[in-house]
Amino acid sequence: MEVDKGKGEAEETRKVAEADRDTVTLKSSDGKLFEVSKEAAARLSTVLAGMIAGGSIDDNGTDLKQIGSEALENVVDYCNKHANSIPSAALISSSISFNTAPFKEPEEWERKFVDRLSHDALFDLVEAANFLGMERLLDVTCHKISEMMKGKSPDQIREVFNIKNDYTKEELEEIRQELAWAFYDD
Amino acid sequence: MGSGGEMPGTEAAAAAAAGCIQALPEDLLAEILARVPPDVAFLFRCALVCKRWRRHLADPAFLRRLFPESGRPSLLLGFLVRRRRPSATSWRRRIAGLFMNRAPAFVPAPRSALGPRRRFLTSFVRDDAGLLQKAELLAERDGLVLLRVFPRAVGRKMYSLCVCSLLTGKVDVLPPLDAEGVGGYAILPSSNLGAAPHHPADRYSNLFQVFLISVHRSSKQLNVHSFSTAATSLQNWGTKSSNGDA
Repeated sequence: MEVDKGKGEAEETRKVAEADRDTVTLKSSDGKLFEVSKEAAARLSTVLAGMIAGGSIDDNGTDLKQIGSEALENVVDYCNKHANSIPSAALISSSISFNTAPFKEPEEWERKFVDRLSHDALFDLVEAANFLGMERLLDVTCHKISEMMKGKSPDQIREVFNIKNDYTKEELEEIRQELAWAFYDD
Repeated sequence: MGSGGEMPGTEAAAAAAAGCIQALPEDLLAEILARVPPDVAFLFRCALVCKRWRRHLADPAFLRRLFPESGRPSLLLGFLVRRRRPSATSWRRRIAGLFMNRAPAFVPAPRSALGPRRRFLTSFVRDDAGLLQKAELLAERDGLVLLRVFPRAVGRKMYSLCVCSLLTGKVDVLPPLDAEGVGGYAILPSSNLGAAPHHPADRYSNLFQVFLISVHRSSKQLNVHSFSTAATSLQNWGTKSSNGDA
């Protein structure tokens, strides 16, 4: 069950669950259970929507072996927050146009939601969002990661993301020459 | 969707442990890179981060997604048109006198990379000597324009040709050619010459070949005059002849 975060929302989720079986229970790779509103899950995740429609939801906890408990907690948290804040029409249109740039800017609360995450949590959440087909969440998390690169040199980007430089000096120089126009201002 | 997420191999596992961007699957990395614009220069600088990123940034599918076809400038840049010589009527001549620039004019195609407005050829290249004022258009190809300067000057047999590059703004005046009965012109930029290993310092290749075909009036001999800027050639006209009955 949800432990420390969003107690009020968790309470509410439980109340709804008692009144009517309006929630789905999700099980993380490490066996923790999370509940999320069926409506939000179906609306935000194409994978969960398919599972709900196909009746493959397990009342004792639907196994999501790909997703760790921390990431799943963030997913559920996002679903709850989303249910409280955004009209669904905006969401639907953004998910349809997902494959064509430009992307919709994250909302203020979404920005805050990803800002508080650690690097590890953020990357885990990107993968979880991708796995669950949560296009809006994927949009928000990818946007956040791309923002972490802004204004940084290739060296700094490698440092931020812990990337190994697999170019030789000559290769770097060659690309720099090829892309001379992109280096005008430094 | 149940399997396939596991990542075997120690390197990937280590990267995953570090919460590293490199542990993400390819499609997710592409999603992230796709959100870097509108700063296009920055996006391409990211190619220096590592080979994997460069592969993504150079992927035609990735680029098409970021820069959809509809927004791309037309391949046809535009047309060059010769300005009409003022006709005999006096008022026309007077009006023509007001517009001194009689260099060929460039009419851009819709969404041309060279901008939406009509402009004189002289707005692309420097023409301090006024060479282009009376120039006659002969041939165009890939931003290279072959012109005959002083077409009506004395000694009509002499061909004074120049080549303007709309992309680099360079004007090359070719050595004069003594030819008669010229009927065909062609210009080939270096990209059409097969391998062009030589690159000038500014990385814009200004290499080209010019061909003229002429038929000698009395001997009926067919001549092909060619000029090449290739470093290996002598930078002068070469002529190949054959008999007219061929």
